[in-house]
Amino acid sequence: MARGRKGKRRKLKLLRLAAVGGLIAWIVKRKRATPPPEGVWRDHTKSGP
Amino acid sequence: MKTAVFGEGGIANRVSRDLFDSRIDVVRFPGAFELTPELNDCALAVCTDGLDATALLAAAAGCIDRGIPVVARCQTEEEWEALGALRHEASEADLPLLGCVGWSPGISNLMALAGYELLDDPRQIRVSWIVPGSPGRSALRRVQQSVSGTAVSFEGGAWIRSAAGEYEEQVFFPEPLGWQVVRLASGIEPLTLPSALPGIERIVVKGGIAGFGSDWAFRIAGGVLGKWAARLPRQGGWSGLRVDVTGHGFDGSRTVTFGLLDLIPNLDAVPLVTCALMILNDEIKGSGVFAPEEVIEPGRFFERIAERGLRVARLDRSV
Repeated sequence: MARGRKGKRRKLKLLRLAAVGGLIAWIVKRKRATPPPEGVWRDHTKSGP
Repeated sequence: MKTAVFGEGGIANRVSRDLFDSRIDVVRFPGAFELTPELNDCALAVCTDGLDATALLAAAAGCIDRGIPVVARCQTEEEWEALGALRHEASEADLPLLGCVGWSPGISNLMALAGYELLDDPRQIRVSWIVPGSPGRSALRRVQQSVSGTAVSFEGGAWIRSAAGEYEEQVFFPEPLGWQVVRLASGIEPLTLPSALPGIERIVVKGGIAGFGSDWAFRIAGGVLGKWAARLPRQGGWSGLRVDVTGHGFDGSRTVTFGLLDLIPNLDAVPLVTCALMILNDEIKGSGVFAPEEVIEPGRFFERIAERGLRVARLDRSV
């Protein structure tokens, strides 16, 4: 009983680790694929709040 | 002074509220086919969402019969053609019938005109828009209308039709949207701009969905990371618009780029409210059917929408 519960917990831990790793890999891949900014956006209107 | 607001969606509610805040009495008409006598007391009609081309035609024709000017959103070619059918009636009645009042088409048309006026020899216009990855009803309708079927563009002095969703490219929108992928989308700008901006050889409209798929990744991450997921960087529900006008000079080509970033409800409602108030204040005059670039001065319009929170930006490439 106790061993089964331990195994389940370990599996869940591994699953979480894999999900976090996958997310980090996805963010790094996206960052690398994005070119640097084309320029700076400057306000074109003079009035307003 | 009363204004009739046609339509029954979120944009109609927001336009009614903004007009009411500007001390304008509003009469709501959810449908276009039951025009009650209350319409006779109105000084202006605003056609918002929830009206198809047939309903828009019925509403606008009813208003012209009663001598009431009309401001209409017009997001599809059919809606613009429906307004165009009333050209003769509007001229005869000496009334302005202003169509394409939204962010794209609408603000995009005036950005194109602003860029056109800044360049010596403008040749090309590219309109790009982006909606959030988890869109609401309005954004979903826009995407569905724009990427299904064919898209019209203006090439070498003629209108051509191509499959929507083709010609993918990356475009840099105001941050936090930044670089986003856009594809050929149907829009009305290629139909209206050539007559107002002579000499333009190419007009194309492209659209996309910001961070499509990333929302699912964040949902999965939220399940795994719990409260820590809130700390991950997100793009929020921003929508973006960018207009590039490219011209040729002695020293090669030069591009003027305008951009805008806000939430869809603001982008949809603010141009309608601004144009309605401009017509009521006699700042927009004319008799016939018009697109914004034919009767509105861009600088003044950008200042008026800035008062309501929509600030147009210009891309500075020298940095």
